[in-house]
Amino acid sequence: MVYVTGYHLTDYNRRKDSSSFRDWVSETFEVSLTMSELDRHDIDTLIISSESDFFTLQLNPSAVIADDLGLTNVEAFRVEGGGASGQLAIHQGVKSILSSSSKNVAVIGFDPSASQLPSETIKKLYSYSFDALTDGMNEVTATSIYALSMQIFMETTGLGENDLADVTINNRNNACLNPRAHLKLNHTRDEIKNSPIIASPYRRLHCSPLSDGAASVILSKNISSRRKTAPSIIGIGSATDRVNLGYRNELGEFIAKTLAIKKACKMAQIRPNEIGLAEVYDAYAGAQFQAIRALNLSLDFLKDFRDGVFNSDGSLPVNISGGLMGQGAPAGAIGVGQTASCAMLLEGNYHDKLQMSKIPKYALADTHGGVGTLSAVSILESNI
Amino acid sequence: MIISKKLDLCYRLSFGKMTKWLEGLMKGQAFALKCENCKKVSFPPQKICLCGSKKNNWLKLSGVADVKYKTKGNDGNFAIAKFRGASTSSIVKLQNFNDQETVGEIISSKKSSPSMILKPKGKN
Repeated sequence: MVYVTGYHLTDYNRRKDSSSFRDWVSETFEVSLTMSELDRHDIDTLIISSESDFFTLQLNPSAVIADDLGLTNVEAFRVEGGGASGQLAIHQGVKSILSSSSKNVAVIGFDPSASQLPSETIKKLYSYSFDALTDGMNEVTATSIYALSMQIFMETTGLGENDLADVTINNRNNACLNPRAHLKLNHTRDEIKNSPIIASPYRRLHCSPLSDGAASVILSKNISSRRKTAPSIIGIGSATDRVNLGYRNELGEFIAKTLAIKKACKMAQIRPNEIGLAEVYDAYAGAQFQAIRALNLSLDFLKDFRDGVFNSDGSLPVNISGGLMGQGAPAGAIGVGQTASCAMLLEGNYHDKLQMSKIPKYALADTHGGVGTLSAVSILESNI
Repeated sequence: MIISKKLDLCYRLSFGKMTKWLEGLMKGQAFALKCENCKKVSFPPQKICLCGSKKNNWLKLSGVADVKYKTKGNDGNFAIAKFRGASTSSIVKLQNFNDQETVGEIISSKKSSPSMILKPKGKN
């Protein structure tokens, strides 16, 4: 069994306080460690995730972070898989415990995606996170590639402009109740529809922000008597799709997610329809729909969305945190933060106005890199 | 305290097997790889075909492509297009396309950034 004995997210925002990502990492680790009822000397392995050395200007960061955290002589390494980095780091932690290689693993995700480089520079760098030879040389932006995939998805599913606006409104409304969220904004449909077009059909307000922040979890093989309600990770899965959109059979679908959740459900011995809440990777408004459909969370995702099933008070809340669009998107922290948020919700520790009164048995954290290209999901179980 | 630190990175990139494709793009030519086993033609070229075969040969396409989906906005004009003679689609940059135009031809790109750029077919 793998228990999530400690978890925490820092604020996600654009830092203007002269703090460093190393401060955020220390902050989140100390809170998680205290919660886990462990001492730092109990940690065998440190796994960190950050998407790019370009963001941090720190090559070989894991040993540096280990020193900062007083984790002397531990096993330490970094996991990277684009936007999926954090979730893949969680997976490595789970595997480390299940293989009996470690008893207690600290997984910490972080990135200074907002404050250290100009957004135009980040945009250029992200072109090289697809296929650098084709998309990178072409200087095609992430938004443009997501937009092309979304056009096909809208054509095949009947998803409309109002749906893109409404999911944006929902996620940012949730963010308003999340004190650590980056974009606490109450939008109207008209505001969204009148925001500048970045890459049709995506407008500025359909996009997630670049954020600074860090998140952490402590994964443990055993739990103390005071952490008996700590949730467990019972299933993990990841898979890839073709990087070049043009090579895919279904250009609007995120097939890698379907494969990833199939693996995770098999490991957890549950079915997708048993999942009671989900944090999914909504880099753009439409990506949330692509995720819900690919993850088989609904038989009719559009009807369910329009009926309010995925609202924070619905029967399957999606992105209670506000998601990437509302809570924010510090790349390396995203997957760790999603998993931490699921753990908080399953243990009844989430922000007051967003905590579900009826806690579900299972939660899903869904993360990807590229345009649904490298997908990684984790399933958590409540132990309340 | 915040300081500005500028890094000036100038990469010397080489491309191995993909060199022929990239040199073609610089000249406004479209070179694809044709699988010897299943005869599928990939553009951009795939070194290993979906059928699993590593045996392939370069094939020069006409450079004419049908534009399937377009996106435009502050980030530029891009499209999913299928080059005639190819089995796969490509993401291309569009130059001087209007909303109605759906057929393009490849044009040469700058040496520093060999890329797939289409202009409307028959237009200068």
